[in-house]
Amino acid sequence: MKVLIVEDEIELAQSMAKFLGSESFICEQAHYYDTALDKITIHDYDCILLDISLPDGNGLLLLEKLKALKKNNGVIIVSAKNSIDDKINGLNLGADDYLAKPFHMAELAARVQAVVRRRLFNGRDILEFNEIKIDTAAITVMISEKVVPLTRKEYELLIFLMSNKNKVISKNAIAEHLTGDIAEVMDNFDFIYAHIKNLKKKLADAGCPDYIKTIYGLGYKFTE
Amino acid sequence: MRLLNVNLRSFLYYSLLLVLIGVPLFFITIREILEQEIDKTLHLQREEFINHLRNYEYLEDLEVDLHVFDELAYDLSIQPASSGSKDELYETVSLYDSLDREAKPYRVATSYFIVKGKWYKLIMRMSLVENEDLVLVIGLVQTLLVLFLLGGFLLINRSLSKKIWQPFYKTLTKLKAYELNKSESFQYEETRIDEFDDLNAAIRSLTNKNMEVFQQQKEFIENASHELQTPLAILQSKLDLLMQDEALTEEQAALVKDMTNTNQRLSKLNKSLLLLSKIENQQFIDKEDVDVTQILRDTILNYQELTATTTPNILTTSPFILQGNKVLLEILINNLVRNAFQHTTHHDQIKIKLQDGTLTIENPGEPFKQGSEKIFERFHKESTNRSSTGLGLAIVKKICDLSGYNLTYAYQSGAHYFIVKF
Repeated sequence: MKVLIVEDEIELAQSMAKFLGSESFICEQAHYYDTALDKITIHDYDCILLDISLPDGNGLLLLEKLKALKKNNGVIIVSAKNSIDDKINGLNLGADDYLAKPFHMAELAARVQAVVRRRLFNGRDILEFNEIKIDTAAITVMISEKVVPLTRKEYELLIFLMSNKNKVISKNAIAEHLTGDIAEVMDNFDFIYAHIKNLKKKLADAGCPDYIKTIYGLGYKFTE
Repeated sequence: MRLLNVNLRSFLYYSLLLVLIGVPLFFITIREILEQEIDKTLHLQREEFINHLRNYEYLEDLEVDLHVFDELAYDLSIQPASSGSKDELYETVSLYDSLDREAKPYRVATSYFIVKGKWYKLIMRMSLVENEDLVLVIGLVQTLLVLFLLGGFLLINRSLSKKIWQPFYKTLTKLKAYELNKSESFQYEETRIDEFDDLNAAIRSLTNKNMEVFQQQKEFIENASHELQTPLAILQSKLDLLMQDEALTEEQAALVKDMTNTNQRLSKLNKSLLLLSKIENQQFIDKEDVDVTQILRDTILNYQELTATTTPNILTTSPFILQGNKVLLEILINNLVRNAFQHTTHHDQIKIKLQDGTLTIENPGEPFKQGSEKIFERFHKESTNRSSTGLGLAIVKKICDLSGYNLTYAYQSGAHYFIVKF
């Protein structure tokens, strides 16, 4: 799957490319409006990560161009502004999601995968890993064809972990992901430990091996 | 006090002063004029009398006639005199009036004349208008004048304030309703009065300048945010990559963790500061009907799920619809609820109540060590938790101040109470 990273901060663009590249994504970078325009005109991408403020143009104009070109790709706006107006404008112009800087790479990966899944399977997609099967439209988790009842936060947590297979995810990233957009992250991360513990127990009870590993005090890793 | 009333008051004082000076002045002048006029008349009468007398000088018994005349005439007295002069003496004398039975002022002219070689003293008199009457009449006339003047002033003042000042009040109303961040230029109609047109033009140029500065400030905030968020994002991304390194030792992982936490804290701080300045710059002004109960329910549910705790006692009434900014209300409620969840000693003892437009959030906890006065100040921290920004309650306070909500705090029997009256 091809991802175009339109981002004028080269360091950030490279980090994004490296992180997503280790997943099953092939990443291309455009650091300027013009190069981005060239790339979207010539190539097709599954997902475009779009910074609004570019040195030589407004990212929102690229959205309009994409619409005019009738490209069927996902777009996630990545902006430092975090302004409600930009968010609404972007989403109205056909962007799928909006991610405010700074963000965690794990969050980015999860969002990209969600957008790509939605595009590819028209919203009705199945997330699979060995015996785990998640139907994101029905919001159900099945292990060996048996439904495992999870709370909403446990469900979100599992998807987040599975979207970042073999990656260490920091507790900060998990906390931010679970807290949501408006809400502010709580100061202590005890609640994450509680959710992980509950999730692990439910998965183990359903006969699932322990995929969620603790990496020192740093975070967690979903791996075989 | 209105400007016109200040004017009016000065006018009134001045007219009062004029009346006070005017009454005695009038009195003196009128009396003077009257006296002069009477003196002239007396003089003429005397000339005429003496001329007539000359015509009858041939009469033998003129002397007797003069005596009889003296006896009969009321305003006249002719007395033989031993000597005389050509001078005429005029004076005001108070004489007893036998008809009115009281003393009355008279103008008396004393002069001398010679008939048949004999001196006679001629005294002629004329009644003067009584002083009291004169003062009374003048005072009355002046009072009437002042009353008419006053009434006229008031009437003119009233119609003036309505008509002439109308453009001014229009401008004032517009200024009061003017909001800098609506980015609309100050609109006004031509009034055809130079002062008001000048004022309006000055206001327009002032507001335009302010708008420009405001715009620049907004841009500065946005730029500052952009400039800070991007390096933070880069740092975060590098840390996220670093922690993927399989070769990380436990000590190195601990270092990465500390850096991640610090970076997170920095991001949160930047975000909160930005939010605070955005609120201060009144960038959240669009109002709509907001169901506060719904926001409260969603927020509480989120924190319940996050903390995986039992339901705190939520005493909520039916939907409470409020005209306000949705984003601000969400932030306000979120910060208060988060505060309660974060600092409570027992999750199941958090009590949240929304009734009659008053939101009460109660959570058990130790009393503040540094007193409660400063809890809404920026960067005031009670907890030793270093990741707390110390801005959460400052943001709550700012939102309440700007939206006109009443925010109070109380500590009672082992529990903190945050009360917002919408």
